[in-house]
Amino acid sequence: MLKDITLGQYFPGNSVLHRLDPRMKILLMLIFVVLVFFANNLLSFLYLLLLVIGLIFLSRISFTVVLKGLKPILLISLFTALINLFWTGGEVPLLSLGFLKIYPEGIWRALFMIARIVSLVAGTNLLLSYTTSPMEMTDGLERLLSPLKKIKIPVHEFSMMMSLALRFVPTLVEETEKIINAQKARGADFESGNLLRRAKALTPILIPLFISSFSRAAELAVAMECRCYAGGEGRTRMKQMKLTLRDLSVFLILSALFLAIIGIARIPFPLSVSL
Amino acid sequence: MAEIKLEHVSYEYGAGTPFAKMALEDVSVTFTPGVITGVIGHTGSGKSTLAQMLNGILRPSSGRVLLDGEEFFSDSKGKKNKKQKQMQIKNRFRVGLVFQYPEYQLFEESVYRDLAYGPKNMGKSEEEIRRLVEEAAYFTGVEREWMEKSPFELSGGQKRRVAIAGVLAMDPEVLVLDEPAAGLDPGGREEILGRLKTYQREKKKTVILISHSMEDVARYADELLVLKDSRVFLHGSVSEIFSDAEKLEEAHLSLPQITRLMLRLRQEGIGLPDSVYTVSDALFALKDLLKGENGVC
Ligand SMILES: Nc1ncnc2c1ncn2[C@@H]1O[C@H](COP(=O)(O)OP(=O)(O)OP(=O)(O)O)[C@@H](O)[C@H]1O
Ligand SMILES: [Mg+2]
Repeated sequence: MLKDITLGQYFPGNSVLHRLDPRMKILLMLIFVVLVFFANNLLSFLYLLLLVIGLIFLSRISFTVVLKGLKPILLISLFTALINLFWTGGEVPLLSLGFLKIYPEGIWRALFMIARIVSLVAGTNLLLSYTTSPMEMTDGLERLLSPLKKIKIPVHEFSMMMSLALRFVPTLVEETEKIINAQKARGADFESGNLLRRAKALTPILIPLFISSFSRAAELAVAMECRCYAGGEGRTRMKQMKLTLRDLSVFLILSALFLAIIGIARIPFPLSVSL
Repeated sequence: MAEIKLEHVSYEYGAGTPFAKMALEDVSVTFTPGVITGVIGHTGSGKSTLAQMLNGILRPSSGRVLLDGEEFFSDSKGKKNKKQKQMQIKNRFRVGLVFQYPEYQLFEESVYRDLAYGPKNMGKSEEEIRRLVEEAAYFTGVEREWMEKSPFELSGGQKRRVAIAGVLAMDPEVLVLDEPAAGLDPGGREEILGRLKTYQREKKKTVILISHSMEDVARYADELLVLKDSRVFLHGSVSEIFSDAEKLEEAHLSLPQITRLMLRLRQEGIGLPDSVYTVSDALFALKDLLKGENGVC
C-alpha cells in the first residue's frame, strides 16, 4: 500500500532528538552528510555505523522502522554496489567470469558504498524526518535562512510553500488511495494488460486527483486570505524558537562526535579504499 | 438473492507500525438476503471498514468473508494466481460498493460515459451497457439532459446521484452504500434514500445501508446492525433494536427523535403506541388518537 512508505515521515516522540531545536538538527544533518564522505577505511565505516546506532538510541525510534525507511533505497544501493564490484580494478582477481573480474578491492568498495548510502539515509531520517514535525522543519529552515531576506530572497514565501506542500502529502496519499479503491469497486484493473493498457487505466485516478487538488488549492488560498494572511511581514509565531543551553550542548557534543570521523579516517588501516 | 456473511472477521489498519489500529474485531454476521440492513454506530466504530470488507477492497486480517457460501479470498495471503484474481474481480462485480462521499470517483467527459465505466469493465456489450446505464439512471433520478454533460458541471447532490448510479449500473446482487445521503439537504436525503428503497423492492436486492442517522435507518431499513468499538453490538429487526433504548445509549446512539417524542407523550399518560419510528407513523398514530378520544388535547 502507498502508506507503507516511511521515507520522510514524522514519528511523534519525546526523545533527546525530538526535543532538540530544529535549527540545530538541520545544521547537524548538514555536518553529518558532509562527513559521511570522509569515511574511507573499515575503521571509519564501523565508526559511522556506530554513530547511526547511537542516533537510533537517541531518537528512541524502533530499529524496524529505521530498516523499513531504507526500503526505498534498496535498489539504488544494490545497483551502486554491483557497479563498484565489477568496475574496481586491483592486483589479484578473486574470480573471473569472462571479461568480468572481481577483485577483493571491489568487494570492499561495494560494501563501503552500501554503508555510505545506508548511513546517509538513515542518518538524515533520524536527525530530521523521523524526529522533526514538518512544521518545525520549515520554521527552522526559515529562521536559518532569514539573513537571506536582506538580499530580497523571499525566504518566508518559500518556507510557507514548503510547509503547505509537506502538509498536503499525507492528504494526497490518502486521497489517491480512496480514489483507487472507488475505481477498483467499479471493476478497474490496474494490474493486468500491457504497458499502454495500464497507463490508460490510470486516467480514472489522475483526473479526480487533479480536480480535487486544484479545488483544494483554491479553497486554501481563500481560507488563508479570509484570515488576513498577507505574507511574512510582521507575522508573529505561536511557538517562539529559543536556543537553550541544552540545545547548544547537544549540538556541540554531536558535532564533535561527527567530526571525529575526519581523525579516524586518517588512521592508517589495512583495509582502506580511496573513494 | 445473494447472501453475504462474515465469520470472525478482524481488521487492523497499519499492522506492524506504531499507528496500528484495530478497526474491526471478531465480527460475525449474516446479512439477510433481500432486505435492507441498516448499519449504525458511533463515528469511528468501523462502519466504513466493514463496507470495504464486503467486496474485497480490504482483506480481513483474520476471518472469512463468504458470498453464497464461497470464500471471497480463496488464495493464501499475498499470492494470487490468475484464476483466483479473476474470481476476485468477478466477486467484486457481484457486490457493488458505494463509498462515503463518492463524488470523487467521477472522471469521464460525460455522465453517460462515467456510468458506462463499470459495465464496460465487466466486458458487457454496447447494447447491454446502454440498457444498464438507463436503468441505473432511472432508479437514481439521473436525468436524461445530464447524460451528455460533463459530470463536473453538476451540483453536489446531482453528482452524488451520478456516482451512485455508476455502481448500480453494474447491476450487483448485493449493494453496499456507505452513508449515501451524507451532506445532502433533507429533501435530497429523502429523494436518494426513497429511490434506493424502490430499487431494492423492485429488484429484490440485498442492500446494506450504512448511516449515522437513526431517522434514516428507522425509515428505510428492515434490519439493523449496531456496531460499537469495532464489534457487533446488536443485530436484529428494527423494532427489536429500538425497543431497548438503554442498550442503544450504551453504543452512544439514541432513538429517532420522533420515537422519543412519542415515548415522552406516553409517559404523560397519552395513549400512544410505543413503536413509532417514523414521522408518517406518528401522524397516523396521532390521527387515530384524535379520532378515538376527543378532548385529550
Ligand atoms: N486508512 C486508515 N488508516 C488508519 N486507520 C484508519 C483508516 N481508516 C480508518 N481508520 C481507523 O479505523 C477506525 C474505524 O474507521 P471507519 O472509517 O471504519 O469508521 P466509521 O464507523 O466509518 O466512522 P464514520 O462514521 O466517521 O465514517 C477509526 O478509528 C479510524 O481512525
Ligand atoms: Mg465511515
